[in-house]
Amino acid sequence: MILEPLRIAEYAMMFSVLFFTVVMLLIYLRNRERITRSGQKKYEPTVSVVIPAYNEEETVGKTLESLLEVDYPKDKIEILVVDDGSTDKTAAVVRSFKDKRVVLLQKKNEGNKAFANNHGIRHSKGEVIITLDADSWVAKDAIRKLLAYFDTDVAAVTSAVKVREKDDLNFIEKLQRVEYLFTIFNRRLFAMINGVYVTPGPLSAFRRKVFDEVGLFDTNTIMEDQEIALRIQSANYRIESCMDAVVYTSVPRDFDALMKQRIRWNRGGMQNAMKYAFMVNPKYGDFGMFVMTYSIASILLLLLVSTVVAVAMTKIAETAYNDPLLAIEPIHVLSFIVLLLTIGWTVIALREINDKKTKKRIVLAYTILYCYLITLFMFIAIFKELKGEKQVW
Amino acid sequence: MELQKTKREISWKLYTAAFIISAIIFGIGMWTGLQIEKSVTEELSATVNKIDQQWISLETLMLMDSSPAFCDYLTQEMGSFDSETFTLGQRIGYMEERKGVDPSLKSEYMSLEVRDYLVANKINERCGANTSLVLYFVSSSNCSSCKEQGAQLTAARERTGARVYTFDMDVKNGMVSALAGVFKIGSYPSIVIDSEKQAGRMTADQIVSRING
Repeated sequence: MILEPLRIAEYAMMFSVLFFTVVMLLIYLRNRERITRSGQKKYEPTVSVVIPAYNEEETVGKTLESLLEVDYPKDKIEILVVDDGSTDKTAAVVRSFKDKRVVLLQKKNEGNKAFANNHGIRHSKGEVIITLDADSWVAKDAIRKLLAYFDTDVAAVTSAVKVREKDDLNFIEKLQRVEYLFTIFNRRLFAMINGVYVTPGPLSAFRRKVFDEVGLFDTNTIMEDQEIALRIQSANYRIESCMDAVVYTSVPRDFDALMKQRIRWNRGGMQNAMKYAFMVNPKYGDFGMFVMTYSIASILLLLLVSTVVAVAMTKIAETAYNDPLLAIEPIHVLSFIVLLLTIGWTVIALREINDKKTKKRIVLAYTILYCYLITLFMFIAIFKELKGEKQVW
Repeated sequence: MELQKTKREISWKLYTAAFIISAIIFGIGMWTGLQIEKSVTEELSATVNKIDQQWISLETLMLMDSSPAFCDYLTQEMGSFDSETFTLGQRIGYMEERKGVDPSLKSEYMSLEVRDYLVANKINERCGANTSLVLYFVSSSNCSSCKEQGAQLTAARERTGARVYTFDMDVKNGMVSALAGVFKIGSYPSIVIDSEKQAGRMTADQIVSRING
């Protein structure tokens, strides 16, 4: 084994990947019962649901239908659809709903969803603001489940964002389905150490007071749902995560759309990580020392693990002497262990979420293939970010 | 409901436990990887010894009988050892290029090459075989053109069936130093074809032409 500085750095980073994986598994083991327990608070405040909509004529109707079905007192909920300068029939679809809970607000498009969210919040009256995407629909009990997590120090609660169930999910959608389920579980694990760093656009609930305290959504970022979460964390409030307030959302169906979405997420994520890098500080507790540190380091770590595994596979494949062992180094064994732990972690996540639909081969494909896809998107995002290419929402 | 700031904490116990578990898993992974590397090195070393024993048997046979009676057998054996030795050299080279190789294994391999060269020379003399023997002296640490010259030699070997022996002069080996002394090797790369030292670098065509000429 050659111990060059680069090689030592490679092993150090592999250790940190292993450490991150073990921390997450220990959080799970330490909080097994709490993780799946629903919120217990009897909290029934007035609620404003803000739905920013830009050219969503095909989906907003179903979103509203699902909202009007939710189990919540009619006099305590208002639904504000913000038509963000749509050029299609979004406004007409909203107007066709005669329910007095539904209010249509119209504004010109300013190029960022945050403007629409803020417009809706400014016109809302509820004690709790719920943001909902116009292409997502909520489960009947979702709002009650979200509210049951609010406590005196809880400023926001995230939901369980799932891929819309349908019979003809293609391969890319199936991979994202596993990813979304895995993310629900991980966000819940992060909540155990007050480490939630994103309040997803499809469905999240906020106390109005937190907006008064930290301000509304940032209109200068392309990942406003992550930025607001980081701002809430930096103000030392808690963000809870709820695994049983389900919202179904549409996901990209093809490679190009997925790539476009992920590049936007990655670039926004990088910008936010840099903006809030000051939180890598012990005074922010686990959030500062573990979550933020790994959020920033994850870019490097993702690249490292993917590269090591890819190089190992290439080396093994190119060994022309019928002896794959020749190519094996300790770091490949470590990568293999991390891969096994990740597969185990994914399986645990799916079991805890009570998902019985996912086939084993999709879990394997997600763990192995999808990591490379995500890394590819990360590479492109880093390149575009360094190049200073303009990113539109 | 009031909104109050939350109390921040660092879960030291969690991170300490995770660090210990990670260190144990890391240790197991490293140990397993190193064991695999060790077993590969041992297997290569065993192969060097096996081929070495086969050459000793041939040498013994040649000492027992100086007549050309065994020439067919000797020539045939020499051919089969050549491919085994060449593959072994490639495997050691592959390991060296990608992750380094134990110098003692490399030294063992070079001793085997010297023995192979000496016995092949004797077989050539006694049996009138005209197998070309090429010695190639390199420095793994201080020779930018050695890799390219090696590729030219490999190409020439494939075209002529010559036996090519590569010696890394950075690895300490008395037998190899003595052999280099015989041909007054002072710079790298240096090529000796059928006991004649060649001047400068050579293309595959030049090597083939020299071997055939």
